Amino acid sequence: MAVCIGFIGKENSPLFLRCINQSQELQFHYIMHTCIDFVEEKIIQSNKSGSDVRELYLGLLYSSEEVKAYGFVTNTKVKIVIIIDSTNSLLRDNEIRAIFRKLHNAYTELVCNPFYTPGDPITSKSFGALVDELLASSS
Amino acid sequence: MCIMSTTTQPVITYSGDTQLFSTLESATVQGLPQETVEWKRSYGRPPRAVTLSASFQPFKIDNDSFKEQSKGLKKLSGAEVLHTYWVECQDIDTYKANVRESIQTWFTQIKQVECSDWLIILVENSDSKKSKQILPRTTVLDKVKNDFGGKTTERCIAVIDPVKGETKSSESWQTFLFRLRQALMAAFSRTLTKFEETVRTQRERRNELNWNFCNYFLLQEELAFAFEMLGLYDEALVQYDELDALFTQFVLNSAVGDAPDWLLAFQATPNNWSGVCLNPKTPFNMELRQKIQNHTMSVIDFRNYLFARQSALLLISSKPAEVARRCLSYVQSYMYELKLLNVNTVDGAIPTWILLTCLQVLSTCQSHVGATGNQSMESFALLWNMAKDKLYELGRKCGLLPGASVGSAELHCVVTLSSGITDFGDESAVRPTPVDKLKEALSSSQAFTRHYLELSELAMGTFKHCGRLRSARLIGRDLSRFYLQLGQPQKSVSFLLDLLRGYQEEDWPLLRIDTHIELAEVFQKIGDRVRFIEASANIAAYPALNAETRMKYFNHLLQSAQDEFRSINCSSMMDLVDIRIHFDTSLEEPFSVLCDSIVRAEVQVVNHFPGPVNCSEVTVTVKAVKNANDEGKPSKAAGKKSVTEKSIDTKGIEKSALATKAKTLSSDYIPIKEQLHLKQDGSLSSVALVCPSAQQLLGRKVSHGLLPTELSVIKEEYTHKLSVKDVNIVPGVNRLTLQMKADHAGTYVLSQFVACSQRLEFIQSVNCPKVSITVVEVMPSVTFIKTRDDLLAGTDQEVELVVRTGSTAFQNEKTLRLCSSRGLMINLPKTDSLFQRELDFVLPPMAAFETVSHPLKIRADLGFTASKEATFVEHKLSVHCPWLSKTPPLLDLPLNVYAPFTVQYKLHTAYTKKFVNIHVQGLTPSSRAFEFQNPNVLLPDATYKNPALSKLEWRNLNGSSQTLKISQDQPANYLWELCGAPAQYDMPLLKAEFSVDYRLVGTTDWKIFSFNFDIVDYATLFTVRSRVEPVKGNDFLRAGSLCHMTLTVSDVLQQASSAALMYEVLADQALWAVCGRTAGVFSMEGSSKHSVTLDVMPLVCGFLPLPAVRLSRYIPAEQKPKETNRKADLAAATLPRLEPFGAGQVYNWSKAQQVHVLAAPSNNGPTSFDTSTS
Repeated sequence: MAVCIGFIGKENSPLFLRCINQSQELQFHYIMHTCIDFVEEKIIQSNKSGSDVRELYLGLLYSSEEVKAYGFVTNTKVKIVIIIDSTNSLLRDNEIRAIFRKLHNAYTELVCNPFYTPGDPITSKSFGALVDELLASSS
Repeated sequence: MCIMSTTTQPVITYSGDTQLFSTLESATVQGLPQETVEWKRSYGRPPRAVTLSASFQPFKIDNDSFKEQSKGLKKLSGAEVLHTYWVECQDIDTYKANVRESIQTWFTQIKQVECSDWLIILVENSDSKKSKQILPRTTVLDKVKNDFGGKTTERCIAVIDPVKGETKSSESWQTFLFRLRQALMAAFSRTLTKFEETVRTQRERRNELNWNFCNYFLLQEELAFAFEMLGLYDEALVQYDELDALFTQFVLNSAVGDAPDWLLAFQATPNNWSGVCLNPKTPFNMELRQKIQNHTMSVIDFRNYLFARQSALLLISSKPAEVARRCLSYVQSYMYELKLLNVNTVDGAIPTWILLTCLQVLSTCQSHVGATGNQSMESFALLWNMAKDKLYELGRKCGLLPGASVGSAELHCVVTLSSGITDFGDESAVRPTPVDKLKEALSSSQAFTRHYLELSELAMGTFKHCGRLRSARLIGRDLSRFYLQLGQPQKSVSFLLDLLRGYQEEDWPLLRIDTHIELAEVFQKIGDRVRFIEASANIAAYPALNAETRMKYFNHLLQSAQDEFRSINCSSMMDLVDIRIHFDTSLEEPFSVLCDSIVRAEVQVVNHFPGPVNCSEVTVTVKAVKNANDEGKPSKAAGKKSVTEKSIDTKGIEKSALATKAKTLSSDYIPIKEQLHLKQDGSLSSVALVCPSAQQLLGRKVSHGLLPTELSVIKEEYTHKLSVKDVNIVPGVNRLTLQMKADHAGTYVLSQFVACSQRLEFIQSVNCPKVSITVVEVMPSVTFIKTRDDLLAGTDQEVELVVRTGSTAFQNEKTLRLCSSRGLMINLPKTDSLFQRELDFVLPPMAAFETVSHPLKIRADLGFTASKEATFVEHKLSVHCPWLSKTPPLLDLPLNVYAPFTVQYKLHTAYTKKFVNIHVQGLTPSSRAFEFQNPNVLLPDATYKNPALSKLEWRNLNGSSQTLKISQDQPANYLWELCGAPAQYDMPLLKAEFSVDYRLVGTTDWKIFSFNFDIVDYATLFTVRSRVEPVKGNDFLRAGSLCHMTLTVSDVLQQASSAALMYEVLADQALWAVCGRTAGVFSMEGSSKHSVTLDVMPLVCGFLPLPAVRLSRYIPAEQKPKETNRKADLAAATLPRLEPFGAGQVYNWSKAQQVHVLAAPSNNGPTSFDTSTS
């Protein structure tokens, strides 16, 4: 079950983080931050392979006894990370891809808003509600 | 090769001549695996080249096995896949006699068993070949083929006994081995297919009640063994992976439904948690397999065995990185399985198992990895990290953490855990093995610390090595905590600061604050008050933190503020949101204020602290911008400095928006180019202004990258500061009004915001955007304003002295000293003082930008002579302001004074009479005309002392008391006759003075104007008279006909001496043609008159002026000039030259005379001769 969804800006600063259990927020921040390592690694690897059409979905970034983190990177180098509970075997790759697609669309819509400066922390309520909904539905 | 290989080899049976075979067996067994054979496979799988080996057994018919095999292949290892019959038969007769019989018996026997692949090998001696030559198809082999081969005659092989050792035999032997391999491969493949079928059937039955996974596992493992034997390690791995997946699926299913009975066996409490032994040859792993066979293993045992086999296959195919990668997911899924299966374990057993597994895998993989390099490093790092975490967990359980007390429970834990750790009995393992290490680590707190730090360092180092800096730093966080527990807080500082830097650079506020909290704790422990303050400030100002923590650290901060001096970057604590400077809008310069005025700035500060901060002073420091105009150059009289610096207004513009503008500040003007579009004919079609870098400038700016986060801050030097004292900055928005006295002109930029509270300084840069203030200083100025048109000399003129104070007020009375240049007198009309060249002018106290004007009278001398050009004189008026410190004390103001009139003197002659004419030309318009009266000409008295001149006398020809008006349009002439001048050659020079009373019309006072002039050559020496007459016979002058021109020069004084004279006839060539010489030299010696006659011809008719005649003094070459003083002309004196006479020395009677010339005679017009004077 997805427990946390986070957006990381292109300069690696957090744009948005929402988790189901607020008390774990700090822990998820730490995990998200560490995930940047894995994202960067994967991007370098995919660059090396040299294919023009870059796969935005990065797959499993990190797994521990408790959680697994999946990554996605937009063309503007905004990273989206979904953290799911390790015990969850129901969420397959395809479902996770679907969530990422929805998140990506939500982010695209957000950036289209002229009052939002890309790179600023995301405070949009509708965006937050959408993420909350995704968190709730995937759990 | 695996230990199981001997038992997994396929079996080939042999029959027939066993004696013969025993001699060949070893050669066959060795020869078989020497070459690969292509394995063509069913189900479209790609063919593979494999090496086959086999073991030989004598063929025997077994009823039991016959029964078993009829049900399907239960066992692959040791299965009989090929039957061979070995025979040595020299001739057909023997064959027919008994060999055929025995083969027949064997052949029927093998038809009864499941696997019925067969080969008949006929061993020959080389000499038997000869008989073969006699008759084809009559050899024993042919017979055998004929009898048994049927359609597959290749199953009958003849081979020359290699023992007999001949050249042909080895070739024959190789052929035999090849055929054997082919046959064996085919047979084995068939068997394998059958076995696979069996496995598949078994798997289909997995949901039946009496199905047992262990049995199935062992069955499918046979396949894996077979593939491994064939060298197909990847295929073998696939078998294990399938088993792995199958098992995992069972476990997962058990969580949601009923678990099958066999799975319950796996739930047994494990009693051994020594981790995975990657060497499958060890007794440990053999034991595990045995347990599986006995159905007595726990899940831990099963997993260990499975992973060991997988790893062994991966390592054999040189993929150690894959082992490490799998290990991670293996450990994680394993823990998950334990949970699902509800396996009870001894407390600490699982971490121990994980720790040992990680270490085992790491030590094994690292020994294998060698040159394969970096790819595996990532997995290694994660494994090290996991091992480190697990060791920590164990340490906590066993009371080995620093500072922990060891009770009986902890001791019991150590004992229990140690009991479950066994050696694998692997002799090849490197000592100390992970098991040894763990045992040592659990033995004492010191050993634990050492091992923990070692693992941490390895994990951190490996992370760093593969570029995962964030992960490495996160280990630093664990380490810092550990050091804190160890009582070495100073060691944790560097780790935490490293973390902090990372979080600050990438702007992770929550993590930054968390690190700050940890740092604060550390700093408090090591007594670093200064850095404790900084950490406290950061924590207290973080809004997302709970109020309690924030207040706690805020109080720490306030307490410490009393005794520690510290500068803190306060961008996150006291945020300077807005600065509005009140500029003086009345000034031309934008964003400017007046010098010496008070600059006010309204500042908005957001205080993020939970409580109010009492600031002794809040300042915004201001730095002067280095300006080229600033240095050393004195300001101009106007006193206004021009500053070209472009500044940006902060008024009402959001910070973020300004950030984008910041780039274009100062010298970064937007480059704009002119573009001309021409039509085809070259004429202009349109003009455009183009910005070449529009793409760049108009691009959407992402604010984030532009605002670098400053980690530390240093108070910069400043020249001025906007400040306010004693302010209480409350939480939230504060509006402060800051003040500064602008005491020096120049351009300033705001540099830093500084709030001082006790001994703390909260500093924040206000560099972006750069707000600049221009302090404009307007210098006091002194100028003159002319009241009327031009200033005229010779009469009193009024000007206005204008004093402007500029931007500085005059507090007291100031004295201006005015000095005029020569010839100019000044006077203040309201005082009684006289006209003088120096004057003190007292200024009353004045406010800034006040203007005082005062009339000033000036009187310039009419100090010019007869020159026409000098219409004005440039005078100067110097102003001394000794009390002005910033400007040079002396100001020179130019003052042009115009002459009102000019005077010219002229000497006129009438034969011997001389007249002096004074011509006065007015230069002023008639509205400013001058009046003249009482003209007079005087010679100085000394002149009359000369006896020759004593009789000189002026005869006034002017009206006696007439007043003349003179202006531009109205000149005046005065005329006197000079009488009584002696008639002689060398006349002394007369210095005369003309004086007249004048006044400007409208004024009352008459002033005297005098004009000095010299009179020379006032005696007439010669007269010239010229006449033009028609030649004799003609009465009239006619155009085109010759006539005579007679010049007569007379010596007036009758004492002309021997001087030679030269005449020149200067005729207008359009009117007169002079025939012959136009000039001639003559001497007046002896006579008073000399006449010359020339032939001239008038060219046109009408009244023609006579040709002019010029008379000059002729000085021959040898003769010295009369004035020998001109030494420079000595060289020229060798040539003859002319010396003209003065204006009054020659009188021309005929000047301006005209003659009437008639038209040419052919015209028959009237003829007349007439001379007329004009």
